Amino acid sequence: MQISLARLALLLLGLSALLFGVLGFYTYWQVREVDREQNERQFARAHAEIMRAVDSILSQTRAQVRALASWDEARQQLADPAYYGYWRSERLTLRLTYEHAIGVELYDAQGRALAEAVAAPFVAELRYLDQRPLLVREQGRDFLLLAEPVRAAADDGPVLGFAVLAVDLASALLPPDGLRFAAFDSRVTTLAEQARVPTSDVTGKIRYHVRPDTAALSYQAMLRRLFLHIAVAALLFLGVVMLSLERLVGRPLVRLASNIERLAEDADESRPSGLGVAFAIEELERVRRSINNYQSRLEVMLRGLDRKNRRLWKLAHHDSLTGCLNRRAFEDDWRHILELAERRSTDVSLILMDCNHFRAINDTYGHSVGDDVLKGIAATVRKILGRGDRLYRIANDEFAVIFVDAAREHAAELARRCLASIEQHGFTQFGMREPVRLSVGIAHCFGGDARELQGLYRRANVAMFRAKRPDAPPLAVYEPEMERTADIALSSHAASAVDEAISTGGNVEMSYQPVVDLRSRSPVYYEGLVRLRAEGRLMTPDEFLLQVETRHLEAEFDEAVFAALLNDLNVGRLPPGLGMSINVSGASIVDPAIEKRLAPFTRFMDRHELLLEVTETTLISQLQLASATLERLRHQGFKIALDDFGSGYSSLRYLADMPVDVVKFDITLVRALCEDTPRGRMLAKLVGLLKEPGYTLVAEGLENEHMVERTRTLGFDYGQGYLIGPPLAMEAQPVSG
Amino acid sequence: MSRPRQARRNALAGVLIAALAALPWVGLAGEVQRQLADGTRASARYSHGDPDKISVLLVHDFLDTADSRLSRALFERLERARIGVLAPTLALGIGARREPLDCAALHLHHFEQDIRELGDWVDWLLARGRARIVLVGLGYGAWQALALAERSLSPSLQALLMIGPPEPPAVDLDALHAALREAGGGRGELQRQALWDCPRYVAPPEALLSYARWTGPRLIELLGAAPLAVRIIAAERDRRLGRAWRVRLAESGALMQSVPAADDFLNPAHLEALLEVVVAGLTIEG
Repeated sequence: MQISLARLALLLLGLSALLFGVLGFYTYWQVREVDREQNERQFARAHAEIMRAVDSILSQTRAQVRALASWDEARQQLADPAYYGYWRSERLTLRLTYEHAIGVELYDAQGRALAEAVAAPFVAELRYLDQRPLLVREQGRDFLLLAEPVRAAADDGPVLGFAVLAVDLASALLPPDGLRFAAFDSRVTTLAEQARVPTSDVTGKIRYHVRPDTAALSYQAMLRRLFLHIAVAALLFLGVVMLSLERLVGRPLVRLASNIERLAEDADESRPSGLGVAFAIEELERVRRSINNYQSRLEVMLRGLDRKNRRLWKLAHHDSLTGCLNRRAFEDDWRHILELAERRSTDVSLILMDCNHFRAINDTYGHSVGDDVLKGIAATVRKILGRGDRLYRIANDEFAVIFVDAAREHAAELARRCLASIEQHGFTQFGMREPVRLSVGIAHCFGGDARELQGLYRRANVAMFRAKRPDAPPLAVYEPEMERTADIALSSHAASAVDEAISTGGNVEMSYQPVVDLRSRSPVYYEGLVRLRAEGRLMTPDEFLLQVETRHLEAEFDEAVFAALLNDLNVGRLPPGLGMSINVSGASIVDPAIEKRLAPFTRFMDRHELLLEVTETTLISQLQLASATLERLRHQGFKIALDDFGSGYSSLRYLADMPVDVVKFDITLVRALCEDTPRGRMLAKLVGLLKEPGYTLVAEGLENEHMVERTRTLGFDYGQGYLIGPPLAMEAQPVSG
Repeated sequence: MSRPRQARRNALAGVLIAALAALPWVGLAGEVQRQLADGTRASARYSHGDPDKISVLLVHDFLDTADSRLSRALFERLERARIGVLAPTLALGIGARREPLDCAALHLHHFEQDIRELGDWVDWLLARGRARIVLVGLGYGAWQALALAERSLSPSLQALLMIGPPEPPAVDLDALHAALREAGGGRGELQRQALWDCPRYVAPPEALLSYARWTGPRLIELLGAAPLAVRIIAAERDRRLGRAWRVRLAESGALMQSVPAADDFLNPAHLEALLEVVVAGLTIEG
């Protein structure tokens, strides 16, 4: 479970508020308890105070009325009340010393008032009850009435009458300095109007209320105020703490986190420039500085990486030799074009250009010249292309140009100009005697979708292969009928067969074509010709070798063929005494592992003569290395045959520099030999010329008896061709006579 | 029986004998309360004194009581001198009166009632076998004692000592008479006049008149015709006794005896001198 700092602070604040609430309620409850106890005490005090006050009133009233009753003049009036009215007003009133006494009346021994008329609370005639202390409520006022007998003598003797004193209870209950614990409202008793009750339960009749204890109230108010202030202060403090935490810790942490998150983003524009404002918390400030430092270093590193990336991208997407974009760039751009085509209808034209016989040029004049040729081609084409056009070198000697949303004729026009410029380019400066020619294939995809566009490269390739044909113009624009011949070189069927041969060798089957002695017409050796079984039929080299070469799988493919041949030798499929020729590609010859791969054949040399047939064109590359390798193989017992002599550029040079035992004339030369033409005669001379150093000459492509006879006459040792025997499985070979 | 116990018994017997010896004197001195002929309860202080000596009837000043300071001082001095003394408090119409009656109080009593009351007390003394009685009057009480002497025919009244008898102020007797007439047979409206020591005396017309009629000349006349030996004792500087009044007193034939330098017998310095003069006078009269 995770919780943000702000929420945590808020939670703490809430818990604190709850705690303070509970404490507040507890305090309130305690204060209320104290308040209740205080009220009880205050009530008891008030009750006692009222009791004292009532006692005091009774005592003072009694003293006053006794003083009046024992007064000489009172006895005088009871004895002779003729002038009682005067006496009461002039004498009796003055005699009242009790300040709360409001009046006094004298009554005779029978209880009759001496005055003719008496005012409330006095009565005209005293009853027995009235001779006792009374509480009286009259006319909305409360009185205390106290009667005292007046006797003949001061303290004893017969009762002459009564003195009755009336006291204003309300004023009497309020001492000059006030009551401390009790207070009264407008009326001080619970008596009903005109009620006259004895004072025996006077305190029960007094109506008062408890005066609040101001000190206690102040104390309680102070407690409440104090708690309130503490609570407010605590909440404010917690609030400040929360805000401080949120401001000093929470926000910086969020900023740090945001900064780190932005650091993790890839986009350069979102990359933070560091946290500028310093944090107040020392530890966070250290973190901020550390992140800033780290960020700065990271920024430097990222800039370096960016530079390196740009450089790497450039290296990865450019051909270091020609400066053109390379195949990776081509594939990236092609992917972008496909993506574009998915979004909208796109017109795309693709030009593929291939240098004819570049391998031979390379082999003949060396890599340096080959490189110069490529650079010259690239420079020439770049000059022709427009400013925004992109030239790719997608393979060794293969270039490509993509036009998007360009006119159909634009690509062909540029291609033609490129061909013309290449033809006029001065490649002779590199020591070349032959002209450099390009084969150009163009394919268009106008308004097609991405799926259609995906086949554009293949169609351009088909067109280019068409252009490569000896009898074809150097520029070919794809047409659907080109597919028939292009299928061979470009079919995925062939690619799968080649891959299976290399990986398992399970589909490799060897056919053997006999090479016979032209004089005896008996087989001398068999040339092992590879076939690949696929989908129930055997594929001939014409169907898959182009795959092998274009994918540069010659060495691996040769190894698979060697394995098949060894298997045939092991099972004794080849009759003893007969030789076997093994085709070895140029790539395998210069492969350091070739000797190891061929070593297993040496154990069969006592029964079979083994020839290594090297195609003239394949030997051209790395001539010295190939020559040394062949020399070692020759010492191991292999004979070296130069295959397809006359089909390449420098046959004679090869013969001069290479350790060759057998020269196999290409069918084109054999055909020419058989013609009575200057060329035929020149070739006849060449045959004689080769015979002199002792080369064994083999005529390939013998198709009729005339050719057999002619070659035999000219001095060829062996012959090979369909007339003599087609390539067949060894089991299918006719038994020699 | 041990000696200490015997000693305690002897001491207790001594105390009992002494108490019994003092008993007669205790029984013959103190307050006397009695009901007068008109039914009024009256009281007096009484000291029996030496039976062989004279007895004194001490009459207090107007509206005063026998407990006034001067009366008490005289009583106690005479008691110490073994002179029998009776100091009644005139009821003034109030039974068992104990306090001096204020001038502003309602005065329902009559002069004659006072004289009759004093006469009752004389009779009381005579009934006690006191054959020789000397009247001693204080202030206006001296005039009432004189009036008593004038009306009583008892030979037991042997002398009168008048201590500072003042001159009564003038009273509008005509008005009193008019009021009395106006009252017809009734008691009439209360009158308010200066009487004797009271600047405003409140009483019915008849009651007021009973006192007011005793004017200065009438008193001097009464004094001159006194049936017994009269001795006047006056403070030399008594403000109530003007020069003319002193002269008229002296001219009445009474024996004037002045207490030198005295102004007020309530002053303790002069009180003792007065008491000595009184005792000396009584000795002479007795």
